[in-house]
Amino acid sequence: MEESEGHLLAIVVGSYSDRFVQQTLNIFSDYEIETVHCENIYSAVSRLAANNHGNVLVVGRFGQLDKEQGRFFQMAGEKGLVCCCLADGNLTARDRRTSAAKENIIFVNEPMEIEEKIIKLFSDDVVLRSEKKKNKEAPAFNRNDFLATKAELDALFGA
Amino acid sequence: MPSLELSRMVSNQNTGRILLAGNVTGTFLDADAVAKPPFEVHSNVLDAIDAAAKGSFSAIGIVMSGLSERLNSVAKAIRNANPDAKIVLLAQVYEESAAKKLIGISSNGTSVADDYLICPVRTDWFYKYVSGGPATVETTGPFVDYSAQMRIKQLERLATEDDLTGLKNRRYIWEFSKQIIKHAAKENGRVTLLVFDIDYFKHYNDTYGHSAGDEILKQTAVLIKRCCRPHDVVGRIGGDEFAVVFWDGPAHKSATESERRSLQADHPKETIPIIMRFRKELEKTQISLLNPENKGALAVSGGLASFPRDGSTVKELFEQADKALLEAKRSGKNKVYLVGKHESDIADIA
Repeated sequence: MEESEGHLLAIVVGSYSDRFVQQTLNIFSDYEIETVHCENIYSAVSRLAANNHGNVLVVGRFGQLDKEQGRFFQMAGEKGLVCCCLADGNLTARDRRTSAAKENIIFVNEPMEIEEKIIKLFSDDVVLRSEKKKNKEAPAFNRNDFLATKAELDALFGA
Repeated sequence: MPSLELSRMVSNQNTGRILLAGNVTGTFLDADAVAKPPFEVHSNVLDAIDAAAKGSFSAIGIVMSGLSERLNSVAKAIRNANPDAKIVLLAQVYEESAAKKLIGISSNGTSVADDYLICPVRTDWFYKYVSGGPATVETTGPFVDYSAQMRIKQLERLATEDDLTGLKNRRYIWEFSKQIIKHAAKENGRVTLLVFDIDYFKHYNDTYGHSAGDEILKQTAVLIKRCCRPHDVVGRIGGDEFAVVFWDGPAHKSATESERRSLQADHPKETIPIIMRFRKELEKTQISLLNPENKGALAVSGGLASFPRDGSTVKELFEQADKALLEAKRSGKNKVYLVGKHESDIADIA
């Protein structure tokens, strides 16, 4: 696939039934980041091999990405990809130390951390897009301004 | 075949490259020969998928051993990475059913794998086989290519199957047992061998003729096959002698170590209901060439031996199962005996 350099492609690895995968996909969708979902690391490698993107971010649970004797992380390093791993329960201190030594691996403890740690890391393009989206979707007033207070509801319908 | 000869063969045929994914050690492919073009070996499957996507390969061989539950994902990824290559699975005999299943699965409208070969596979033979595929169709024509493949398949079938019953033959049963015992030893698994023959078979043959005898054999083959699980291997190993190799099947992988140990202690108890069902079916059978009064007269005697309890090699298992079979015959036929429990038929154990 011929793809232009300069914008971010996110590859989310894991079963779609995994809540972490769903939440991650939602976050990237909010930021309008081009995202590909791969069921497992094998299809992710297949997808990555045909890719010419400049910035690629691979997100998944550590256990999902740390397959085949950690070869995926090595490949990612060679290709200059950034991997974002959810440090799930199975992650040992040794895993963490080994992986932390690699510059291209970032750990998160929950999906929301992706926003903090990852989105900022990438090009202005992502930030601008997100800003654009935020601007486009941001209501002129705070939604809470329109919500009736309990006192108002009580007055309307009786306490 | 020496590498030099293979290189000559390669230069004589204008074929593409061949990618081998996985650990080729158990395939018996010549490691020196496959280390050079036209072959490219990647023991790490992630590298193989990457290579499949980037390189132009006319054929890709996937070594099934060691992939177990990852096999589907790996094969699908390779297919998606290189939709045009002919994908051949290199399977051990006990992986044949998994290979067949995978060929039936499609990904993006294409079968995940095109064919499978049972190991051991010779390098020159493998090369001829895969290079006889799409890469040579233009020069030799699809019909010739197709017939060559069919011939190979036919020869393979003749070498491993019993002509009369369609069951596996003695050679196959022996080879399969050898490999599955090796596999079970590694995986802490179990294998049970059943050897049985038809009671009074000679009498039926002599009284009603060989056609009646053949019909009994065919009918017995159909019934035993029907009663066994899909992964059990059934064969005719002699005149009226049959063998069934019961093994744990692919589901065994998911069992924990302690579950495996407790299953092993129970072994071969779980095969007993299968044999009982078979005996019942046999009793109900009516062989058209026999007199109607013979309905229900068909019976078998058998012996059961299991790995690792009764023996650690194929030879030992066959010897033990044969001994149990002889005991069953001596004690009045229509019985299946377990090694070490010659005093009672399996029906009493169950």
